[in-house]
Amino acid sequence: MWKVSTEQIGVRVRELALDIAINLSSLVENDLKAALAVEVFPPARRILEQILENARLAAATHLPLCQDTGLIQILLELGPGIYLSGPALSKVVEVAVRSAYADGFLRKSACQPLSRENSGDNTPASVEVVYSENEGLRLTVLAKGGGCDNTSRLMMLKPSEGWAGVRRVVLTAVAEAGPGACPPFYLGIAVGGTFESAPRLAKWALMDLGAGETPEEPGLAAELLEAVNATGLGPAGFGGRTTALGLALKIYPAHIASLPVAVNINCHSFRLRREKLAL
Amino acid sequence: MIHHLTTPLEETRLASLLAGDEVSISGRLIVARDVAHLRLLAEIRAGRPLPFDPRGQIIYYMGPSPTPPGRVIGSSGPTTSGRMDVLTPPLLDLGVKGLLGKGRRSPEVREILCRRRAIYLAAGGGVGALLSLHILEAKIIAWPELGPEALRSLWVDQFPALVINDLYGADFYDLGPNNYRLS
Repeated sequence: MWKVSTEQIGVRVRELALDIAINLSSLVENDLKAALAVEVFPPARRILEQILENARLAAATHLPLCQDTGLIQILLELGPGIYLSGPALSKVVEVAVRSAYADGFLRKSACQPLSRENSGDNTPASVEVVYSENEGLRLTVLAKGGGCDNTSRLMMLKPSEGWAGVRRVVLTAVAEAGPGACPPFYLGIAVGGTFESAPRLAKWALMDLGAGETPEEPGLAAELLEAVNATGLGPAGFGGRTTALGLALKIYPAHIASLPVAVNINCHSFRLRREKLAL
Repeated sequence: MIHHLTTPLEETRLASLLAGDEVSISGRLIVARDVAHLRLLAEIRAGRPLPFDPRGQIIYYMGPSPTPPGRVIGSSGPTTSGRMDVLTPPLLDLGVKGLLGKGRRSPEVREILCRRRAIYLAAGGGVGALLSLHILEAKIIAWPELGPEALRSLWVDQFPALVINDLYGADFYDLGPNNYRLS
Protein backbone atom coordinates (compact mmCIF):
# COMPACT_ATOMS: atom_id res chain seq x y z
CA MET A 1 0.00 0.00 0.00
CA TRP A 2 1.22 3.48 -0.85
CA LYS A 3 -0.30 6.50 0.82
CA VAL A 4 -0.27 9.64 -1.31
CA SER A 5 -1.17 13.03 0.08
CA THR A 6 -3.76 14.97 -1.90
CA GLU A 7 -1.80 18.11 -1.00
CA GLN A 8 1.18 16.76 -2.98
CA ILE A 9 -1.17 16.37 -5.97
CA GLY A 10 -2.46 19.91 -5.45
CA VAL A 11 1.07 21.32 -5.64
CA ARG A 12 1.59 19.68 -9.04
CA VAL A 13 -1.84 20.75 -10.33
CA ARG A 14 -0.98 24.36 -9.53
CA GLU A 15 2.47 24.15 -11.16
CA LEU A 16 1.20 22.39 -14.28
CA ALA A 17 -1.74 24.81 -14.68
CA LEU A 18 0.72 27.72 -14.63
CA ASP A 19 3.05 25.98 -17.08
CA ILE A 20 0.50 24.93 -19.72
CA ALA A 21 -1.03 28.39 -19.96
CA ILE A 22 2.25 29.92 -21.11
CA ASN A 23 4.55 27.23 -22.53
CA LEU A 24 3.51 25.36 -25.66
CA SER A 25 4.36 21.67 -25.28
CA SER A 26 7.21 20.33 -27.38
CA LEU A 27 4.76 17.79 -28.81
CA VAL A 28 2.51 20.54 -30.27
CA GLU A 29 5.53 22.56 -31.40
CA ASN A 30 6.91 19.54 -33.26
CA ASP A 31 3.51 18.83 -34.83
CA LEU A 32 3.32 22.44 -36.06
CA LYS A 33 6.84 22.24 -37.52
CA ALA A 34 6.03 18.92 -39.20
CA ALA A 35 2.89 20.50 -40.69
CA LEU A 36 4.91 23.48 -41.96
CA ALA A 37 7.33 21.09 -43.66
CA VAL A 38 4.54 19.73 -45.89
CA GLU A 39 2.11 22.68 -46.11
CA VAL A 40 2.67 24.62 -49.33
CA PHE A 41 -0.43 26.88 -49.42
CA PRO A 42 0.84 30.37 -48.45
CA PRO A 43 -2.08 31.49 -46.21
CA ALA A 44 -1.80 28.20 -44.27
CA ARG A 45 1.96 28.63 -43.88
CA ARG A 46 1.46 32.17 -42.54
CA ILE A 47 -0.95 30.96 -39.84
CA LEU A 48 1.30 28.05 -38.78
CA GLU A 49 4.26 30.44 -38.56
CA GLN A 50 2.15 32.91 -36.57
CA ILE A 51 1.19 30.18 -34.07
CA LEU A 52 4.87 29.25 -33.58
CA GLU A 53 5.83 32.94 -33.26
CA ASN A 54 3.07 33.39 -30.67
CA ALA A 55 4.53 30.51 -28.65
CA ARG A 56 7.98 32.13 -28.69
CA LEU A 57 6.51 35.48 -27.60
CA ALA A 58 4.39 33.88 -24.84
CA ALA A 59 7.44 32.17 -23.38
CA ALA A 60 9.50 35.38 -23.61
CA THR A 61 6.85 37.68 -22.11
CA HIS A 62 5.20 35.16 -19.75
CA LEU A 63 1.85 36.11 -21.28
CA PRO A 64 -0.61 33.25 -21.77
CA LEU A 65 -0.57 31.62 -25.23
CA CYS A 66 -4.26 32.46 -25.53
CA GLN A 67 -6.43 34.88 -23.54
CA ASP A 68 -8.86 32.00 -22.98
CA THR A 69 -6.83 30.11 -20.42
CA GLY A 70 -9.67 27.63 -20.23
CA LEU A 71 -11.32 25.55 -17.59
CA ILE A 72 -9.14 22.91 -15.95
CA GLN A 73 -9.81 19.21 -16.44
CA ILE A 74 -7.92 16.78 -14.20
CA LEU A 75 -7.56 13.03 -14.67
CA LEU A 76 -5.96 11.13 -11.79
CA GLU A 77 -5.18 7.46 -12.38
CA LEU A 78 -4.46 5.38 -9.27
CA GLY A 79 -2.59 2.12 -9.70
CA PRO A 80 -3.09 -0.97 -7.50
CA GLY A 81 -2.49 -0.43 -3.80
CA ILE A 82 -2.47 3.37 -3.86
CA TYR A 83 -4.76 5.36 -1.63
CA LEU A 84 -5.18 9.09 -1.03
CA SER A 85 -4.79 10.81 2.31
CA GLY A 86 -5.32 14.37 3.39
CA PRO A 87 -8.06 16.89 2.51
CA ALA A 88 -10.70 16.02 -0.12
CA LEU A 89 -9.15 15.97 -3.60
CA SER A 90 -11.85 18.31 -4.96
CA LYS A 91 -10.97 20.92 -2.30
CA VAL A 92 -7.23 20.60 -2.94
CA VAL A 93 -7.73 21.05 -6.69
CA GLU A 94 -9.99 24.04 -6.09
CA VAL A 95 -7.31 25.72 -3.99
CA ALA A 96 -4.62 24.89 -6.57
CA VAL A 97 -6.63 26.27 -9.50
CA ARG A 98 -7.61 29.41 -7.61
CA SER A 99 -3.99 30.06 -6.72
CA ALA A 100 -2.62 29.37 -10.22
CA TYR A 101 -5.17 31.59 -11.96
CA ALA A 102 -4.60 34.47 -9.52
CA ASP A 103 -0.80 34.28 -9.37
CA GLY A 104 -0.33 33.60 -13.10
CA PHE A 105 -2.60 36.44 -14.31
CA LEU A 106 -4.70 33.82 -16.08
CA ARG A 107 -8.24 34.59 -17.16
CA LYS A 108 -11.09 33.50 -14.93
CA SER A 109 -13.58 32.01 -17.35
CA ALA A 110 -15.99 30.07 -15.10
CA CYS A 111 -19.47 31.49 -14.65
CA GLN A 112 -22.99 30.51 -13.61
CA PRO A 113 -24.68 29.21 -16.75
CA LEU A 114 -27.85 31.31 -16.65
CA SER A 115 -26.97 34.46 -14.69
CA ARG A 116 -23.50 34.47 -16.39
CA GLU A 117 -22.02 35.63 -13.07
CA ASN A 118 -18.28 34.91 -13.04
CA SER A 119 -17.05 32.78 -10.11
CA GLY A 120 -13.98 35.02 -10.05
CA ASP A 121 -11.41 32.28 -9.47
CA ASN A 122 -11.87 29.88 -12.43
CA THR A 123 -13.39 27.20 -10.20
CA PRO A 124 -14.87 24.65 -10.29
CA ALA A 125 -12.43 22.43 -12.17
CA SER A 126 -13.42 19.01 -13.44
CA VAL A 127 -11.79 16.14 -11.52
CA GLU A 128 -11.96 12.49 -12.55
CA VAL A 129 -10.35 9.70 -10.53
CA VAL A 130 -9.81 6.34 -12.18
CA TYR A 131 -8.59 3.07 -10.68
CA SER A 132 -6.02 1.85 -13.16
CA GLU A 133 -4.33 -1.50 -13.73
CA ASN A 134 -1.06 0.35 -14.29
CA GLU A 135 1.37 0.76 -11.41
CA GLY A 136 1.86 4.13 -9.80
CA LEU A 137 -0.03 7.41 -9.88
CA ARG A 138 -0.56 9.39 -13.05
CA LEU A 139 -1.81 12.97 -13.25
CA THR A 140 -3.13 14.65 -16.41
CA VAL A 141 -3.96 18.36 -16.47
CA LEU A 142 -5.77 19.89 -19.45
CA ALA A 143 -6.76 23.55 -19.81
CA LYS A 144 -9.44 23.69 -22.46
CA GLY A 145 -10.84 26.83 -24.06
CA GLY A 146 -14.55 27.42 -24.61
CA GLY A 147 -14.47 28.05 -28.35
CA CYS A 148 -13.44 24.52 -29.28
CA ASP A 149 -15.32 22.82 -26.43
CA ASN A 150 -18.54 24.37 -27.78
CA THR A 151 -18.04 22.44 -31.03
CA SER A 152 -17.45 18.98 -29.51
CA ARG A 153 -20.25 16.50 -30.27
CA LEU A 154 -21.96 13.30 -29.11
CA MET A 155 -24.15 11.42 -31.60
CA MET A 156 -26.09 8.25 -30.84
CA LEU A 157 -26.07 6.49 -34.22
CA LYS A 158 -28.07 3.50 -35.37
CA PRO A 159 -25.84 0.40 -35.38
CA SER A 160 -26.55 -0.06 -39.11
CA GLU A 161 -24.74 3.24 -39.84
CA GLY A 162 -21.45 1.57 -38.98
CA TRP A 163 -18.05 3.01 -39.86
CA ALA A 164 -19.52 5.21 -42.63
CA GLY A 165 -21.69 6.82 -39.94
CA VAL A 166 -18.67 7.37 -37.70
CA ARG A 167 -16.81 9.11 -40.56
CA ARG A 168 -19.83 11.29 -41.27
CA VAL A 169 -20.14 12.37 -37.61
CA VAL A 170 -16.44 13.27 -37.40
CA LEU A 171 -16.43 15.21 -40.69
CA THR A 172 -19.68 17.00 -39.82
CA ALA A 173 -18.32 17.99 -36.40
CA VAL A 174 -15.14 19.37 -37.98
CA ALA A 175 -17.10 21.24 -40.68
CA GLU A 176 -19.43 22.78 -38.10
CA ALA A 177 -16.50 23.68 -35.82
CA GLY A 178 -15.05 25.45 -38.84
CA PRO A 179 -12.74 28.46 -38.56
CA GLY A 180 -14.19 29.67 -35.25
CA ALA A 181 -12.82 26.81 -33.15
CA CYS A 182 -9.19 27.64 -34.08
CA PRO A 183 -7.99 24.92 -36.46
CA PRO A 184 -5.68 23.07 -36.84
CA PHE A 185 -7.40 20.86 -34.28
CA TYR A 186 -6.55 17.91 -32.08
CA LEU A 187 -9.38 15.37 -32.10
CA GLY A 188 -10.24 12.74 -29.48
CA ILE A 189 -12.81 10.29 -30.86
CA ALA A 190 -14.74 7.53 -29.11
CA VAL A 191 -16.78 4.90 -30.90
CA GLY A 192 -18.98 2.81 -28.62
CA GLY A 193 -19.68 2.95 -24.89
CA THR A 194 -22.86 4.70 -23.75
CA PHE A 195 -24.29 8.22 -23.56
CA GLU A 196 -22.31 8.50 -20.33
CA SER A 197 -19.03 6.90 -21.29
CA ALA A 198 -18.49 7.87 -24.93
CA PRO A 199 -17.61 11.53 -24.17
CA ARG A 200 -15.36 10.34 -21.33
CA LEU A 201 -13.55 7.92 -23.66
CA ALA A 202 -13.20 10.72 -26.23
CA LYS A 203 -11.62 12.89 -23.53
CA TRP A 204 -9.22 10.08 -22.64
CA ALA A 205 -8.34 9.70 -26.33
CA LEU A 206 -7.65 13.43 -26.53
CA MET A 207 -5.52 13.29 -23.38
CA ASP A 208 -3.54 10.29 -24.69
CA LEU A 209 -2.91 12.28 -27.88
CA GLY A 210 -1.61 15.30 -25.96
CA ALA A 211 0.61 13.09 -23.81
CA GLY A 212 2.16 11.39 -26.84
CA GLU A 213 0.90 7.90 -25.95
CA THR A 214 1.16 5.07 -28.48
CA PRO A 215 -2.05 5.31 -30.53
CA GLU A 216 -4.83 2.72 -30.31
CA GLU A 217 -6.47 1.70 -33.57
CA PRO A 218 -3.69 3.36 -35.60
CA GLY A 219 -5.10 2.33 -39.00
CA LEU A 220 -8.62 3.67 -38.43
CA ALA A 221 -7.30 6.80 -36.69
CA ALA A 222 -5.02 7.53 -39.65
CA GLU A 223 -7.95 7.08 -42.05
CA LEU A 224 -10.09 9.58 -40.12
CA LEU A 225 -7.21 12.07 -39.85
CA GLU A 226 -6.62 11.86 -43.59
CA ALA A 227 -10.34 12.45 -44.27
CA VAL A 228 -10.34 15.48 -41.93
CA ASN A 229 -7.28 16.94 -43.64
CA ALA A 230 -8.81 16.35 -47.08
CA THR A 231 -11.59 18.85 -46.24
CA GLY A 232 -9.25 21.77 -47.02
CA LEU A 233 -10.48 23.88 -44.07
CA GLY A 234 -6.86 24.51 -43.11
CA PRO A 235 -5.24 26.64 -40.39
CA ALA A 236 -7.62 29.40 -39.19
CA GLY A 237 -10.08 28.14 -41.82
CA PHE A 238 -8.19 30.04 -44.53
CA GLY A 239 -7.60 26.84 -46.54
CA GLY A 240 -4.80 24.31 -46.48
CA ARG A 241 -4.01 20.67 -45.85
CA THR A 242 -3.51 21.07 -42.09
CA THR A 243 -7.02 20.94 -40.60
CA ALA A 244 -6.01 18.65 -37.74
CA LEU A 245 -2.58 18.07 -36.22
CA GLY A 246 -3.55 14.82 -34.55
CA LEU A 247 -6.40 12.38 -33.95
CA ALA A 248 -6.77 9.55 -31.45
CA LEU A 249 -9.51 6.96 -31.47
CA LYS A 250 -10.88 4.64 -28.79
CA ILE A 251 -13.27 1.81 -29.62
CA TYR A 252 -15.28 0.26 -26.79
CA PRO A 253 -18.16 -2.21 -26.55
CA ALA A 254 -21.64 -0.72 -26.90
CA HIS A 255 -25.21 -1.86 -26.19
CA ILE A 256 -26.66 -4.03 -28.98
CA ALA A 257 -29.06 -1.14 -29.75
CA SER A 258 -26.41 1.61 -29.82
CA LEU A 259 -23.53 3.12 -31.74
CA PRO A 260 -22.42 6.23 -29.81
CA VAL A 261 -19.81 8.49 -31.42
CA ALA A 262 -18.17 11.26 -29.39
CA VAL A 263 -15.89 13.88 -30.93
CA ASN A 264 -13.82 15.98 -28.52
CA ILE A 265 -12.37 18.93 -30.45
CA ASN A 266 -9.38 20.84 -29.12
CA CYS A 267 -7.97 23.98 -30.74
CA HIS A 268 -4.31 24.23 -31.78
CA SER A 269 -3.57 25.72 -28.36
CA PHE A 270 -3.52 22.20 -26.88
CA ARG A 271 -2.54 22.80 -23.27
CA LEU A 272 -1.96 19.47 -21.57
CA ARG A 273 0.62 17.83 -19.33
CA ARG A 274 0.73 14.27 -18.04
CA GLU A 275 3.18 12.96 -15.49
CA LYS A 276 3.81 10.10 -13.12
CA LEU A 277 3.88 11.34 -9.55
CA ALA A 278 6.64 10.06 -7.29
CA LEU A 279 5.39 7.76 -4.53
CA MET B 1 0.07 43.86 -49.94
CA ILE B 2 -1.15 45.02 -46.54
CA HIS B 3 -3.91 47.64 -46.38
CA HIS B 4 -3.45 50.14 -43.55
CA LEU B 5 -6.65 51.15 -41.82
CA THR B 6 -7.19 53.88 -39.26
CA THR B 7 -10.27 54.39 -37.11
CA PRO B 8 -12.90 55.72 -37.29
CA LEU B 9 -13.38 53.76 -40.52
CA GLU B 10 -14.54 55.64 -43.62
CA GLU B 11 -16.93 54.01 -46.04
CA THR B 12 -14.91 55.04 -49.09
CA ARG B 13 -11.88 53.25 -47.64
CA LEU B 14 -13.90 50.09 -46.99
CA ALA B 15 -15.07 50.06 -50.61
CA SER B 16 -11.49 49.31 -51.72
CA LEU B 17 -11.19 46.19 -49.51
CA LEU B 18 -11.94 42.66 -50.68
CA ALA B 19 -12.39 39.39 -48.80
CA GLY B 20 -8.95 37.89 -48.26
CA ASP B 21 -7.12 41.25 -48.04
CA GLU B 22 -4.63 41.56 -45.21
CA VAL B 23 -5.08 44.71 -43.15
CA SER B 24 -3.27 46.42 -40.33
CA ILE B 25 -5.36 48.57 -38.01
CA SER B 26 -4.14 51.63 -36.14
CA GLY B 27 -6.38 53.62 -33.81
CA ARG B 28 -9.20 52.65 -31.51
CA LEU B 29 -10.91 49.32 -31.03
CA ILE B 30 -14.02 48.92 -28.85
CA VAL B 31 -13.85 45.59 -27.02
CA ALA B 32 -17.12 43.81 -26.24
CA ARG B 33 -18.06 40.16 -25.97
CA ASP B 34 -21.12 38.22 -24.80
CA VAL B 35 -22.40 40.00 -21.69
CA ALA B 36 -21.22 43.47 -22.81
CA HIS B 37 -23.29 42.98 -25.98
CA LEU B 38 -26.39 42.13 -23.92
CA ARG B 39 -25.86 45.31 -21.91
CA LEU B 40 -25.26 47.45 -25.02
CA LEU B 41 -28.53 46.16 -26.47
CA ALA B 42 -30.33 46.93 -23.21
CA GLU B 43 -29.03 50.52 -23.42
CA ILE B 44 -30.17 50.82 -27.04
CA ARG B 45 -33.64 49.44 -26.24
CA ALA B 46 -33.95 51.84 -23.28
CA GLY B 47 -33.07 54.74 -25.58
CA ARG B 48 -29.94 55.61 -23.60
CA PRO B 49 -26.67 56.73 -25.26
CA LEU B 50 -23.90 54.13 -25.54
CA PRO B 51 -20.68 54.55 -23.50
CA PHE B 52 -18.86 55.26 -26.81
CA ASP B 53 -19.67 56.91 -30.14
CA PRO B 54 -20.43 53.94 -32.40
CA ARG B 55 -20.01 55.76 -35.72
CA GLY B 56 -17.14 54.30 -37.76
CA GLN B 57 -15.98 52.12 -34.86
CA ILE B 58 -14.62 48.58 -34.93
CA ILE B 59 -16.07 46.19 -32.31
CA TYR B 60 -13.47 43.60 -31.24
CA TYR B 61 -14.90 40.39 -29.74
CA MET B 62 -12.35 39.76 -27.03
CA GLY B 63 -11.94 39.11 -23.31
CA PRO B 64 -8.30 39.63 -22.28
CA SER B 65 -6.41 37.73 -19.63
CA PRO B 66 -5.51 39.93 -16.61
CA THR B 67 -2.82 42.58 -17.05
CA PRO B 68 0.47 41.57 -15.39
CA PRO B 69 2.52 44.31 -13.70
CA GLY B 70 4.44 46.43 -16.20
CA ARG B 71 2.30 45.46 -19.20
CA VAL B 72 -0.51 47.27 -21.06
CA ILE B 73 -2.83 44.27 -21.16
CA GLY B 74 -2.75 40.48 -20.96
CA SER B 75 -3.15 38.04 -23.82
CA SER B 76 -5.70 39.56 -26.23
CA GLY B 77 -6.90 37.35 -29.08
CA PRO B 78 -10.38 37.13 -30.60
CA THR B 79 -13.27 35.01 -29.37
CA THR B 80 -15.80 33.23 -31.63
CA SER B 81 -17.90 35.88 -33.38
CA GLY B 82 -20.93 33.72 -34.14
CA ARG B 83 -22.21 34.01 -30.56
CA MET B 84 -22.68 37.73 -31.16
CA ASP B 85 -24.61 37.28 -34.45
CA VAL B 86 -28.08 37.92 -33.05
CA LEU B 87 -26.78 40.87 -31.01
CA THR B 88 -24.97 42.59 -33.89
CA PRO B 89 -27.60 44.25 -36.17
CA PRO B 90 -28.56 47.06 -33.72
CA LEU B 91 -24.87 48.10 -33.48
CA LEU B 92 -24.53 48.20 -37.28
CA ASP B 93 -27.74 50.27 -37.40
CA LEU B 94 -25.98 52.83 -35.17
CA GLY B 95 -23.05 53.19 -37.56
CA VAL B 96 -20.48 50.61 -36.41
CA LYS B 97 -18.37 49.92 -39.51
CA GLY B 98 -16.14 47.04 -38.53
CA LEU B 99 -16.46 43.76 -36.61
CA LEU B 100 -13.33 41.90 -35.55
CA GLY B 101 -13.28 38.32 -34.25
CA LYS B 102 -12.89 34.77 -35.56
CA GLY B 103 -15.21 32.29 -37.25
CA ARG B 104 -18.20 32.46 -39.55
CA ARG B 105 -21.04 34.97 -39.36
CA SER B 106 -24.72 34.13 -39.93
CA PRO B 107 -26.37 34.84 -43.30
CA GLU B 108 -28.34 37.61 -41.56
CA VAL B 109 -25.18 39.39 -40.38
CA ARG B 110 -23.53 39.00 -43.80
CA GLU B 111 -26.59 40.51 -45.46
CA ILE B 112 -26.75 43.47 -43.09
CA LEU B 113 -22.99 44.10 -43.49
CA CYS B 114 -23.61 44.65 -47.22
CA ARG B 115 -26.67 46.80 -46.60
CA ARG B 116 -25.00 48.93 -43.91
CA ARG B 117 -21.68 48.99 -45.79
CA ALA B 118 -19.56 47.53 -42.99
CA ILE B 119 -16.94 44.77 -42.94
CA TYR B 120 -16.09 41.72 -40.85
CA LEU B 121 -12.44 41.01 -40.08
CA ALA B 122 -10.67 38.05 -38.46
CA ALA B 123 -7.68 38.29 -36.14
CA GLY B 124 -5.46 35.27 -35.42
CA GLY B 125 -7.26 32.83 -33.14
CA GLY B 126 -5.14 31.44 -30.30
CA VAL B 127 -2.29 33.90 -30.76
CA GLY B 128 -3.30 36.36 -28.04
CA ALA B 129 0.25 36.92 -26.75
CA LEU B 130 1.38 38.10 -30.20
CA LEU B 131 -1.69 40.31 -30.73
CA SER B 132 -1.35 41.96 -27.30
CA LEU B 133 1.99 43.44 -28.38
CA HIS B 134 0.09 45.66 -30.88
CA ILE B 135 -1.93 47.24 -28.06
CA LEU B 136 -0.53 50.55 -26.81
CA GLU B 137 -3.24 51.48 -24.33
CA ALA B 138 -6.19 49.70 -22.76
CA LYS B 139 -8.93 51.00 -20.50
CA ILE B 140 -12.29 49.85 -19.21
CA ILE B 141 -15.04 52.23 -20.34
CA ALA B 142 -18.04 50.51 -18.73
CA TRP B 143 -19.12 47.64 -16.45
CA PRO B 144 -15.82 46.80 -14.75
CA GLU B 145 -17.67 44.24 -12.60
CA LEU B 146 -17.82 41.98 -15.67
CA GLY B 147 -14.07 41.34 -15.39
CA PRO B 148 -12.88 39.84 -18.70
CA GLU B 149 -16.27 40.74 -20.23
CA ALA B 150 -16.10 44.47 -19.36
CA LEU B 151 -16.47 47.04 -22.16
CA ARG B 152 -12.99 48.28 -23.12
CA SER B 153 -11.31 50.77 -25.40
CA LEU B 154 -7.92 49.91 -26.91
CA TRP B 155 -5.41 51.99 -28.81
CA VAL B 156 -3.69 49.71 -31.27
CA ASP B 157 -0.77 50.04 -33.66
CA GLN B 158 -0.67 47.99 -36.87
CA PHE B 159 -2.95 45.34 -35.44
CA PRO B 160 -2.97 42.47 -38.00
CA ALA B 161 -6.27 41.17 -39.39
CA LEU B 162 -7.82 39.76 -42.55
CA VAL B 163 -11.02 40.77 -44.37
CA ILE B 164 -13.53 37.92 -44.18
CA ASN B 165 -16.75 39.63 -45.33
CA ASP B 166 -16.42 42.63 -47.64
CA LEU B 167 -19.02 45.15 -48.83
CA TYR B 168 -19.82 43.00 -51.85
CA GLY B 169 -21.03 39.85 -50.10
CA ALA B 170 -17.89 37.71 -50.50
CA ASP B 171 -16.85 35.39 -47.66
CA PHE B 172 -13.18 34.47 -47.30
CA TYR B 173 -14.14 31.38 -45.26
CA ASP B 174 -15.61 30.05 -48.54
CA LEU B 175 -12.97 31.55 -50.85
CA GLY B 176 -9.86 30.47 -48.88
CA PRO B 177 -10.54 26.71 -48.78
CA ASN B 178 -11.79 26.90 -52.41
CA ASN B 179 -8.56 28.58 -53.46
CA TYR B 180 -6.65 25.83 -51.69
CA ARG B 181 -8.61 23.04 -53.40
CA LEU B 182 -7.92 24.68 -56.78
CA SER B 183 -4.22 25.25 -56.00
